[in-house]
Amino acid sequence: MQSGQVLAPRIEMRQRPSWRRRRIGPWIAAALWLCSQLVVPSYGYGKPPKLGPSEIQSRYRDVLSILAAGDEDRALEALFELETLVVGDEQPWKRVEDFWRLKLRALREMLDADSLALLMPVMVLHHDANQMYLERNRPFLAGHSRIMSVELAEIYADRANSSAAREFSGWVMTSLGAMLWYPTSVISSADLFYRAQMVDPGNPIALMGLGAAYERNANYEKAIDYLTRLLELDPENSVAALHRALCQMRSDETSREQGLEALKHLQRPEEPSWVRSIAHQELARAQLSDDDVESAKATIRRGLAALPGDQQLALQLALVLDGARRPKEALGVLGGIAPGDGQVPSPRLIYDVWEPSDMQDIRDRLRRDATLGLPALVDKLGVEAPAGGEQ
Amino acid sequence: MKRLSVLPTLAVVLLASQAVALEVWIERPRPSEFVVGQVEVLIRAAPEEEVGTVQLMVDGRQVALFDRPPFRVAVDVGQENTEHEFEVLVRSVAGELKSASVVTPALRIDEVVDLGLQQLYVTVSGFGKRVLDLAEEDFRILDEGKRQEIVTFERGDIPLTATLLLDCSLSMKGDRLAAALQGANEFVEGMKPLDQAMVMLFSDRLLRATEFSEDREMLSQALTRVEAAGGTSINDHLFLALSRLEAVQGRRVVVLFSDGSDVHSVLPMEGVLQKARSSRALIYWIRLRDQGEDSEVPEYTSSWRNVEANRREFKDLRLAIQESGGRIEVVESLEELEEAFAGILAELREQYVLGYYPSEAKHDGGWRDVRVRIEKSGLDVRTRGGYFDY
Repeated sequence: MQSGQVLAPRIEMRQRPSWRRRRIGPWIAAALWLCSQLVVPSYGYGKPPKLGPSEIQSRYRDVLSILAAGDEDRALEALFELETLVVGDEQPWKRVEDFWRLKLRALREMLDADSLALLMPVMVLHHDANQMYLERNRPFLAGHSRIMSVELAEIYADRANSSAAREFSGWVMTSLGAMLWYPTSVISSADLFYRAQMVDPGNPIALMGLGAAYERNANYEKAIDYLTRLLELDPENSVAALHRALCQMRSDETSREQGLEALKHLQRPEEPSWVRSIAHQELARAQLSDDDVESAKATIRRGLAALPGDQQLALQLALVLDGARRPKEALGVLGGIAPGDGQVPSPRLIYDVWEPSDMQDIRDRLRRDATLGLPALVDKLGVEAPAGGEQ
Repeated sequence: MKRLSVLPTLAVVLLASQAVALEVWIERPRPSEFVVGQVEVLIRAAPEEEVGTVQLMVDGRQVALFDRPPFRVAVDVGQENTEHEFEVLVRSVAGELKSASVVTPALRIDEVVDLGLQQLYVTVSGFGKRVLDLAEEDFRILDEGKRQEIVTFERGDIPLTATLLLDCSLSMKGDRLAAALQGANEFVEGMKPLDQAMVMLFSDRLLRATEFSEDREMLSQALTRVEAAGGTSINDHLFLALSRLEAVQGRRVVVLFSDGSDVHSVLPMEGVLQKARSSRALIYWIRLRDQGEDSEVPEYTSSWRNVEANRREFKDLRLAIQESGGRIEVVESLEELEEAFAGILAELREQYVLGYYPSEAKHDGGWRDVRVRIEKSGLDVRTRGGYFDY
């Protein structure tokens, strides 16, 4: 069973937020100090920590200082070292929950409207830590980082109350949601897409993700709602159009007709080849379910003419021919299926997952935009600004 | 004394001349007979006590080797409308070689023929062991509930043609794939000279496929340097494997290895089930299941099917396997994998092969239920569940 890939429809980030430089060094230092003080009672749970509260506070400040100096990779390693030391993998949920709740409360109390930008690099740090922990097979710590990142994103969107802040926070959450997307389980990502859509209703990945999540759960009406909202914002989005068409096909009779029309439309040469392949496959499947074998055969043959070598269309044609007791002809069609190296996924897998390169683009842009908050972090922590880091 | 000493010499000469008189011919199929699918081959050799070994080749490939009568076997010549050459080579006990051959014609477009030998591969087990000492009269074949006359009966090692169909999707990454490849390699290593196999590796698409071959080194080579990636399309690749198997002769077997259920296939299992029924291949599924996974039928949704539809797909896959006469081998630890592959090969070496002509063939394309029963109690009998009566 396929699992673990994260991936995406081709949707561009709409606009990059702009950020003003703020001086919040003393505030954040005070916030971190307060945070560490508030954490003290929580260590009553489970095993005693290997580090004391003040040491944790100092080490976390060191992590943020490395981040403020512009070296996120090293900051991630330092965070990994600190968090594995303090939390480990023993899932002391209550202790950890108290830990991050108190930290967030402290931050809320300490930050003012002008210093909020420093949250950008911090939430991206925890966002990237989530990915790092997943790659290192530390799911508990990944969850901890994800919660930190999402909480910071919600605080930032709420406190900053600007469209740019809401967009940035929305992208952090959708990126995290896409990382959690598994072909057979989408509940965790759907939750993050929902929260992203609450802070930024126009986030295309959130709308797409919610549409796809409802599609998975066979709630086609809800899926169509979200996908229609996305198509209103981006009428040329053929991935959303394909998902909506398939939801319509599985919905009521009226919607089915609309879905069939949309599938015909998506067979145009200007559409991505995997979209065209699925449009042919699904139209043929619908025709077969209507016992219209001849139309199905014509659809598949048309698809194969447009997309020679398409394995799934060839299999479909072979099954139809075999059912018509033409096994030799079917075998001839199957003879055209050549093994691939696995580098090019099948259209049905592409449909099911987020495009890795698009997700990487989003992460890269988050990292770039997060640097806009670094000056505020530099000021608050009193560290040296990164070389050439004119913000 | 001198006259008496001549007698043994004469006896030797007479015996030698009798050995030269060995005759061999193919009684079935007849030269004018069109053959397709399962065919009963009956070889006669006389005098039988002079026969050392009898080797049967179909279209140039050895399919059976006998060392005692009866020289009767059912072979599968595939579904193509084409000529077939049956050649028999007999070596007498004195080392003399005799041969005979029959070439059957292709069917003309306006011809109507009555085919219909049904061949059943039967696995019998009892008290945790396979039962190997049954005789023809112990078996009862029921076709649509009616008892049939057994015309061919064999037991033991019959050549096989297998497709090793291995799931290399992302969830197989690491030790799982390495163990599966090692297990499949055990199967290849256990093949005998007349056996053939094809290696087919898949994820959401076909990753690698060899030709059918007896070359164990080539097959082993195909089980190396594979990386787990991508989704899972069991239905698509089971259909492909069954289709490619259908074109080859002999006892056909698919050994599917997968840890999961289908997610990305374009073909519905319902269609593949029909293919499984018509192909008459034995299907085995080595299912790697996570420890603690308590549900027999997996519960999951995907973009392509909801929970109910996925459940149906799984049940149809299970039905295809049961009806084929194969089985699902659930494996919960990687250490068991080699044994699972080897166990299937051992089972295939210990099957009974029964052939019969259905007494009430209708040729209407309908499905006919077949059951095999054994008079002795307490034995478990597994075989194909039926066939399409074309």
